[in-house]
Amino acid sequence: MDRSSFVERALRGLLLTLIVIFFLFPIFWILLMSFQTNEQILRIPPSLSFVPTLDNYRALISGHLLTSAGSLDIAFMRNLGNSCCCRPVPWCWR
Amino acid sequence: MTSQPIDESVRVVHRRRVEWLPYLLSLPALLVCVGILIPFVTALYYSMLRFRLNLPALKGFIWFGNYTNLLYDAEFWNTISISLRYTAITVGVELVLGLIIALLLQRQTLINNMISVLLLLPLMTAPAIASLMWKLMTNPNFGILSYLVSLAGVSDFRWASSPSSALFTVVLVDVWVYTPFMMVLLLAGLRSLPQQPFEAAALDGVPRLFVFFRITLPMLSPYIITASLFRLLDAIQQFDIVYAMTQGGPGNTLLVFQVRAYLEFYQYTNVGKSAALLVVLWVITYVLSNIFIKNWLRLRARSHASA
Amino acid sequence: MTDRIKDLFDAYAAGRVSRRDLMRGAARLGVTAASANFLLGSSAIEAMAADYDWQAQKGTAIKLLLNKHPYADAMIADLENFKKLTGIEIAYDVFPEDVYFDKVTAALSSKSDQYDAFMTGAYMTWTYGPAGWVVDLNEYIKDPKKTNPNYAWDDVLPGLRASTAWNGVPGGELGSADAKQWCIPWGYELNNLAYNRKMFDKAKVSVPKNLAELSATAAKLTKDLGGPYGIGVRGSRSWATIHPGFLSGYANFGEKDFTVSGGKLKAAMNTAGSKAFHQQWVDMIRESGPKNWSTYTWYQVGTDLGAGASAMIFDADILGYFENGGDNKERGNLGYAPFAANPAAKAPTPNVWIWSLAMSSFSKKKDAAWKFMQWATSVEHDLFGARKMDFVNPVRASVWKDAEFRDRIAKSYPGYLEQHDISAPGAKIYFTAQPLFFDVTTQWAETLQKMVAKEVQVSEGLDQLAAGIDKQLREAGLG
Repeated sequence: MDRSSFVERALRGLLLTLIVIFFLFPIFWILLMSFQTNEQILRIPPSLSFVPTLDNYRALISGHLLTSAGSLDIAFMRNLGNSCCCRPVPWCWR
Repeated sequence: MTSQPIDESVRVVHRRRVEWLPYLLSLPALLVCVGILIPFVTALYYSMLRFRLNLPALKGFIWFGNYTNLLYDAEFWNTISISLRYTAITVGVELVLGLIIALLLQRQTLINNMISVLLLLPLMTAPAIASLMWKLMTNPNFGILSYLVSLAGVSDFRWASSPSSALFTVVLVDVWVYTPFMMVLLLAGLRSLPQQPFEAAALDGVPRLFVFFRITLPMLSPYIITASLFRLLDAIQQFDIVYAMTQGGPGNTLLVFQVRAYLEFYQYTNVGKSAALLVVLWVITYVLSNIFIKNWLRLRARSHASA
Repeated sequence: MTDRIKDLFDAYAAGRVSRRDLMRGAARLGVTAASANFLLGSSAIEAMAADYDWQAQKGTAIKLLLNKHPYADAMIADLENFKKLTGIEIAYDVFPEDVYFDKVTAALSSKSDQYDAFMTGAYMTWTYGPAGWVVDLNEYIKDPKKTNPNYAWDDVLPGLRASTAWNGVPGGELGSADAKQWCIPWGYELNNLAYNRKMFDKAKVSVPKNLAELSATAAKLTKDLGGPYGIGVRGSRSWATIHPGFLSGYANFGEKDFTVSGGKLKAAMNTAGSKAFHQQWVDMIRESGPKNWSTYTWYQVGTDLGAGASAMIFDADILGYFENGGDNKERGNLGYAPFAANPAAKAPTPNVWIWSLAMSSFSKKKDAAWKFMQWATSVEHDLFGARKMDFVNPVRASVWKDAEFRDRIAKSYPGYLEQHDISAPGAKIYFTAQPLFFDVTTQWAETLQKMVAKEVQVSEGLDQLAAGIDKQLREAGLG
């Protein structure tokens, strides 16, 4: 199928790049936000330069998140266990 | 002479066993059917009651009163209009976009396969979460999309908070989540098409556009119809994306059927009206899917004949 | 803990030792601040335990349905003391506010006995009460055998006690003599101005004293600050948009949502005064409100103030309180002021939101649930929450008089106590109690959204709203 000229291949590549950017950008952006503190996320205007922090992941795993309105208990690990175990095995822990 | 009676008894036993088996085999399906019908009949029953949970004294049978009330309700026609518009736009856009992507990724190269797997990521996001992601990104203060759009010169785009652009925003989220679904189905269809017609066309020097419209599309039409039908059934009942974005607002611009029915029950505790709305939704869905399936059968017969 | 430490804390709880001596003594005995809190709580519990059999339901387990809120956090932090006091096991489910009330509706409408007590607001009990889903708590409060003598029900602010009691008659006055007590006030919010002092100084504006000044100040701030917008108010398609600042200002002008005559309700949003108020409000939002106002819930209003995206908010006072701390960009810069929208009014008339505890009618452990509710709304727990755990606003008058609490607030939140003291006398629910509350307020919010988006004129929109509501009232037999 050597009918595609250089222009066609370039156009095809450009279109695919645009499409991939459109579909993957929000996921990339959310991934970025998961490494930012609340203050950085709410910054106006938004910026790509920031100091990454693992606080959010630590909060998910440990189960405690400190916010300005108090401490939040996160049952993420338990819920993850439920999702993983409820499918293949009929029992799951609460 | 002694073999005759044995033959007869064997024949009798054989006939009795054959009578039980079909019914036994279809029993599970029957049970599932009954299981599906019970909530449906209950909903039909509720839709014929005037029933508000916080006004239990008024509970009473009013036959089709809820439906006639809906007919006179301007909001109801708005709901029908917005639901149908939403469905038509999302299914249309996703079909075209999905087809374009599938055509671009048609050849089985490493990059193409990698891309088609990556593009499945949005489909794996829960629609409510996708809506929240887009809500954050389109926030006029700290949202990255608002920032980028303002850099491009459009300074005050209101995304989901203005009635004129709210539909555009939720359609955008829906397209982002569900186009990969169309892409996957159409890609599978494209890759499974028989090669002979294309080779013949190439030999005859047929222009590519002609090949696309007269050969590819007709052979692909059963896949297109299937994919569109799935998306249609989903889009007309869309709840997560619209509710997570604006809860039906601004004003009543995005009050699609499911959102309206949900609010009627959970906020206003109006069971009768909520059930009536859902029954109307079922009727619309049934009619539309009937049309689709009849066409699908017709096109499939035609494509098998032409292959 | 050693006997000497325990004796010291017990002496404080009994009032024999002053707080300063307690702290000095505790430090000398090597007690850290964290364990001091626990000991303080447990001594107070023992003081409570003296007169009443808290252990009557020992060994039962109850389940709570809670909203994700600092009040719930404060209660959970102190839960060990409750278990020690009563021997009752507590399990709880916490849900975010967006879906919390849907969860409550689902749980109660299915008549399930899964939850024994839950958090609720007063408006929800206007649905739950008539539907028979919650218990009338008068039968517990008025029964000396069921309620501990130190409960001090009259210590709860009278406006709040009245606002959570309704006799079920549409249009019936809240807190009337025949009213049923559907829930117990736990923590409440009134509506006022919280503003960014730095921004006000920069733009050289003073705190507005009425609605016209509010609009003008907000417009000036939007123009001069070059970034933040002037005034943050809620705008989502929900009852929660009408209830805070909007209704507080509306009621200040003497306007009502319904007129009641002969037991029938008639919509009153299309009076001339109401139309004038709506016009001012809508213009203010268009000129100086947030750009995506129609998606704004209390959360966006608050975070914008905390992040420096807005100069002031007319919303729940506790929202301004929480935004002044944590890791917010504008922490420490916020000030508070009472607000009376009507220039001719003598005092503010803030509408209130009262987070309360209610008991499910389908619970099989009502007595145990009542023990929990008593403990959670007791003087001792309120004091603990107010002094240590950011439990604002407390509902008990005695807690507001507590010196330690007042000192703590005055130090970090200047102006907060003053705005509360001025606003509290007029703070109550200004809505008319009726079963179609959510229908009415959601449609009202929808009409507001249409007016701000210029889809309909203010005067026309309100006439349509009133006509639509009257029709629904007639269909429901209320109008």
